[in-house]
Amino acid sequence: MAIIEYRNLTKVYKNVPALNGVNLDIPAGRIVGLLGPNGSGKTTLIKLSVGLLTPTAGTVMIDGNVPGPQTKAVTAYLPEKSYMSEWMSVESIVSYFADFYRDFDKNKAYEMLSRLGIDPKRTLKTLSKGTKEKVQLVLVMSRAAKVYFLDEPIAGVDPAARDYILNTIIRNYSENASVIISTHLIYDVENVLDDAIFIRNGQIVLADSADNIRENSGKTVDMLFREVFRC
Amino acid sequence: MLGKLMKYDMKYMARILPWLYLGGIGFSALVTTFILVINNGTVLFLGAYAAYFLFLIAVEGIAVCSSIFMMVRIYRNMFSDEGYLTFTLPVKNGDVLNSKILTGAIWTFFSGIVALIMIALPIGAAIYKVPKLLEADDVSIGMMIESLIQEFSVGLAGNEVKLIIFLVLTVVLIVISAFFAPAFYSFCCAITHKIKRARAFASVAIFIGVSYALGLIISISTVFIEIFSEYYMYGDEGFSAITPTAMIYDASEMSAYFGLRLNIMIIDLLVIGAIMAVITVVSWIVSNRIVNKKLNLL
Amino acid sequence: MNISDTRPVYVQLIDRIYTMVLSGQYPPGAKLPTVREFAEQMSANPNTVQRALSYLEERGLIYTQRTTGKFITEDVSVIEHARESLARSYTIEYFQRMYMIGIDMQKAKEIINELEE
Repeated sequence: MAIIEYRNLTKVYKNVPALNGVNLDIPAGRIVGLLGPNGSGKTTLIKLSVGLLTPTAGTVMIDGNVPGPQTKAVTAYLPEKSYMSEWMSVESIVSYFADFYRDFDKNKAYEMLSRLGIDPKRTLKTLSKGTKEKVQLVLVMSRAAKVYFLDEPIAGVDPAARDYILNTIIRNYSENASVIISTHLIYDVENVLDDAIFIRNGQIVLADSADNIRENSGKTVDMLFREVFRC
Repeated sequence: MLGKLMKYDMKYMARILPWLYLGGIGFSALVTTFILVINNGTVLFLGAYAAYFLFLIAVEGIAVCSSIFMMVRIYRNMFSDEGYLTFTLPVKNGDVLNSKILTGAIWTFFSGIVALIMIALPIGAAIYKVPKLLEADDVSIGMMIESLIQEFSVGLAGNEVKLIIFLVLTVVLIVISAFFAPAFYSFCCAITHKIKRARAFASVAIFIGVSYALGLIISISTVFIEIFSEYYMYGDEGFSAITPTAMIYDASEMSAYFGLRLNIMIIDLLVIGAIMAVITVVSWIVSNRIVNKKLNLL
Repeated sequence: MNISDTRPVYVQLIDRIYTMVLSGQYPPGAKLPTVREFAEQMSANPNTVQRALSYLEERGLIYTQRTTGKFITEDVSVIEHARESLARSYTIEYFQRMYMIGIDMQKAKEIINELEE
């Protein structure tokens, strides 16, 4: 059984389908790229998977369960925007995560924070946007979840931080877990991906392993993407 | 998990509300000291008058601040960007909501107790002061307070049961109203949460609008209850029965009058309580449903 | 990893590992890092690294000792064979590129002699 199963997943907003009948299985132990232009439905798919949206039709199952407290306990979500209370300090939000998530590793979190040079006593409000994103990333990567959904984790971040993020993903790899990275910066993540999913207008256009894509098309995933999504 | 959620919600409210309470009680202590220390009747009277208005502002201010704080917490933690974290916690969505309503009610209750203390202190001081004032030559204030106390003890005699019912209903209404604000505001947020822009504005507008309308309805209905019950009790001459107590000299008449007043107040409380209870329960149920089955956080 | 290299990543990794072995960075008998460490070093997916290592193990460049890990072969002949193969393919590539700009093998050799001095 795949760790993530999408069956005919559809989400409609005011007669516009943001997602239209997505059928996909994602096995465990894969790093998957969800690739598509803005507005293609990447974020919608992720939000449906983590339970922030309810499907108009179809289902999503994480480890055999519909999104709920059980799936949320084994799902780690990194949204595009900051979702932390500004008045909290870094160490208090670390404790907050540790309090609610049994798989959260506090030591790992503090180790990552110190490597990134972030003072745990600082209030989130006083941190720059980039630093806040790093804090969120640390929180997510300190979890030993079964599924990680990272929505545009490298878009607003400097190149050195990008490398750190990708290396953290690699370092965290487990064959029991899968990581879904949604991004439009494909060439940065390409070498880290096992599989690539091309999505456009709410539909899956292509789903294959990165190696197959290269062997079959003779192009890098990034090149193929540019071709498929040419304006 | 509900307990855990409540722990954090209580902590959030504890950031400011205790300070407000401290300020309020401090102000009350100040006024109380003033009453205890000043012996000049006129000064006392003027001072009490000024303090009365400041008091209303202070108590009202604490009530409003607590409400605002609670509403901000409900909206921010569930329906702003923070909701992305809150609703991906490994808890039932309904528990998130219930935690907010329960903590909101608890802090509203605390605010109520603080308000009571704030009022009780100076009144206690005033009652204590009465014999002192009578001793002094300021007979007028002392006599006024003493006659008031006497009036009440005469009137309430024979009406003990009604008084108890009245007090119990008051407590029940206080409890219901403590839950009303967080439950109803959560409902306002839940029904507007799919709107993309000005979501916060919409929820607050609906909340204030409905609360205001409710206040109007309650005011009007109390007047009607008053008129109706007087009519029912005394027929066409009902209005003549509304006599100021100063003109009643007979103890049994006073008792009957107090009995009537208590009846009317009890009916008022029942009506208001019923309306608020229904709205509170319906809000709670509907919000729970929306958050559990139809969450669409944009 | 070369961004414009269109070969599958595992193929590129195989190349890199060969280079590291032949340049002496991983001499015969040397212990290799774990798959995870390797992946981190190369900024590549662990599954891909595993695939590359399996390929090299089939070719005899690497062997696995169950409890201790992966090692470069001590059989020098395997390494020399690989060195020879790679040298040949590089040279063929070199001559192909020279030919593309109109320099035949003869002229190419002249240039090499000049550079040697």
